[in-house]
Amino acid sequence: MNRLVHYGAVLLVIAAIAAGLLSSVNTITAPQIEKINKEIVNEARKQVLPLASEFKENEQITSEGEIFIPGYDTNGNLVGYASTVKTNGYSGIITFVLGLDIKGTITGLKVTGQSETPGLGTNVDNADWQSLWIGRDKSYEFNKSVDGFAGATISPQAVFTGVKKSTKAFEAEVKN
Amino acid sequence: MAKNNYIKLLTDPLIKGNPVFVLLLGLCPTLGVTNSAINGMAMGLATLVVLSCSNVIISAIKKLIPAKVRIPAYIIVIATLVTIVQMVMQGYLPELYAVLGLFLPLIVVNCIILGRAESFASKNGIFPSLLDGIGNGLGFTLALTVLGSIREILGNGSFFGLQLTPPTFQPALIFILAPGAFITIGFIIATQNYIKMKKEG
Repeated sequence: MNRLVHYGAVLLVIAAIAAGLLSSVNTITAPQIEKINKEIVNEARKQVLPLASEFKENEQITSEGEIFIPGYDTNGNLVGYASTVKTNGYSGIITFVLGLDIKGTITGLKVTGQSETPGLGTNVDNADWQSLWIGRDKSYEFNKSVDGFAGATISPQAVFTGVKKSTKAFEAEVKN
Repeated sequence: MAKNNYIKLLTDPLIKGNPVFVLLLGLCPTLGVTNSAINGMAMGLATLVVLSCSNVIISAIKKLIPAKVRIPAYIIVIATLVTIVQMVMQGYLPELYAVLGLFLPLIVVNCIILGRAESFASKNGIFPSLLDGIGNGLGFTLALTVLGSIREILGNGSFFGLQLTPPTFQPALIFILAPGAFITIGFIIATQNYIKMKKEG
């Protein structure tokens, strides 16, 4: 019986020290992690909407479940919107940031998260492929010979589905 | 311990007692992350840091831990270290975290770390345990880098992201997919055993 108490006490002490240590490290790193994550998102938004220099999150517009963040240039003029889109890929969710100008034309697309098949579906992460999307709008239909790549049918199609969903939502509420 | 033995602690796990190729420990992260040389190397280095720290801590507290509850105690120590590495990396090295983030928690269950804690750090002093951790970490890094390089060259035609082959060359995709990991490690172990048998005559 005494032994059991001893074992429990040792484990308790070790766990308590570990928890204390983790919480103090967390206090130091949490603000830094938040700052970095914000920078990553902001960087991606700037890449897809190059004209914008500032994004105002508190002015976001929600339409059909999609969130659009307005982007302003240095003179304070509205130049377009950036939206984070999630779409079901081949082996998980593909997340990308889509930039739209005020007319709803795509100004950029950048994949920020994906877990597609290496070497095949991961080509959606290719910058050249992503630049194909610039200039397209909601009327664009998927063209397998242009947008697809050998060995992966689902991943590029999934990005297209996401773009379609986003541009449709844009048309419904955001565009005026 | 003689000075000679200290050096042995560092160099033995590199080739002769390589944790991956000879002892076949830690195969889960080995096969999972080595689809490119850089991924393999980064995973190896992250493991090296955790392994060295966990060996030192476990060696320092070994007398306080009753034998019957040593495994959960070791796991807590290792898991805490991994979480700290993860938080620090996420905050200060975001590029590296983007590549490795998914695999970091795997270090907790890497049997090399628990294996070294159990078979070495819990029986030896702090300094030899540190050397043992560094040695095994380097051996693991070496194995993962070699495996990642072979798979990347054959499966993607590149080495550390640098394109080696002309665009007309069609790389054998299977090598960067999961089956390629098994095939490659099989051939590496076979070659190594062949050389060993030749040496022994």
